[in-house]
Amino acid sequence: MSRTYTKKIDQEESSSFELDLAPMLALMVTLIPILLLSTVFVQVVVIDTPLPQVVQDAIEQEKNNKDRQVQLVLGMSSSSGFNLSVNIDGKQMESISVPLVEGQLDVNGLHEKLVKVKRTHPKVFRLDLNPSEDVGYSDIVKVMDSVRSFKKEEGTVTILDQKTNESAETNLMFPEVVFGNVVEG
Amino acid sequence: MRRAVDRLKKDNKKATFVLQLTAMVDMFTILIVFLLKSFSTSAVHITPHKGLNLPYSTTITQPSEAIRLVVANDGIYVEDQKVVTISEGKFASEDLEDQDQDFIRPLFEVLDKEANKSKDISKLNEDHVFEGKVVMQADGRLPYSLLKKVMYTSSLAGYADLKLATISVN
Repeated sequence: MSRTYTKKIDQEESSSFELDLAPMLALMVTLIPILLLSTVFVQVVVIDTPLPQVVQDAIEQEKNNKDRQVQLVLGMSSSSGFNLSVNIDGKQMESISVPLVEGQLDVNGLHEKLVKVKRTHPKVFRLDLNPSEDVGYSDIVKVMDSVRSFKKEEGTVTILDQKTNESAETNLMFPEVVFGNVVEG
Repeated sequence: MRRAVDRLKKDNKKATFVLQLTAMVDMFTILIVFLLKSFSTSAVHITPHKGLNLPYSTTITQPSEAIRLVVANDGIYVEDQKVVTISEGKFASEDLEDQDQDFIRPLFEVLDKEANKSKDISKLNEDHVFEGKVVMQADGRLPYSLLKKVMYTSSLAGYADLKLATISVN
């Protein structure tokens, strides 16, 4: 019995071998330059902000937007903060101010106010942004990020499609931000 | 003496060795995993302009094919060609229209030329459609007063579908 066992161990020892890693290495040396060419270390993404069209296009757009009764206009100033106007049928129905906090724009405060507005007007996805001339570009991007969607803990909003009578949930708030004061000149 | 030579020959045979590649393969495996994580399948890549501090954003929209407009601290570039100079955050007075201080004449001329070129191509090639798309890479420290002029001029030249280039924080 012991002789058989010893023989078995001897066979196992003799069957051990060195794994030939050279082909694998060759494959990796080829793969790495290919991946390096397609690798993006700084990913650039874009925010869609259609500018108000001028002349004929603007007129046509306004005609198409007859159904849009509720209009949200967000004023933004680095000296006085945010001022949100809720206009219904061209009349200002509500005005919400978000003052500066420690001299800085209160983006979180604005987000909280906009969540309430969105729950009142779930069908509105467009926000007209009117920054004053002294506002920095990075602050504008922060505001656009803040108004785009609900935070995870805030849940979603339900929208009822009148044509199909089906409801749908979305976490989007105001993804369509338009610079309202660009064409004013 | 003969015995010593025989021993030397025997030892020389034993001196051949197999290169230990295991550690190198480990290193390459880690490298490949890291590169695969950063691998991008997007059709269009935007390389930020030199010296430009793009703002950070949470958006996930991938860039599409569009004319590249860079608003840096030293000037405005269209497709890497400098068209307007900015000094101390202001445009030179000769670059702005007298009647309309938001209208940047040299920028309009270049964009209008590009728009006409694109429209001419679309007449000959049905697959090519002029959509007026422009990707704007602007420095995050610039004031809105300056960007507003660029946007206004761009929309007058027919480029109204503006896309703001930002760096992803996701």
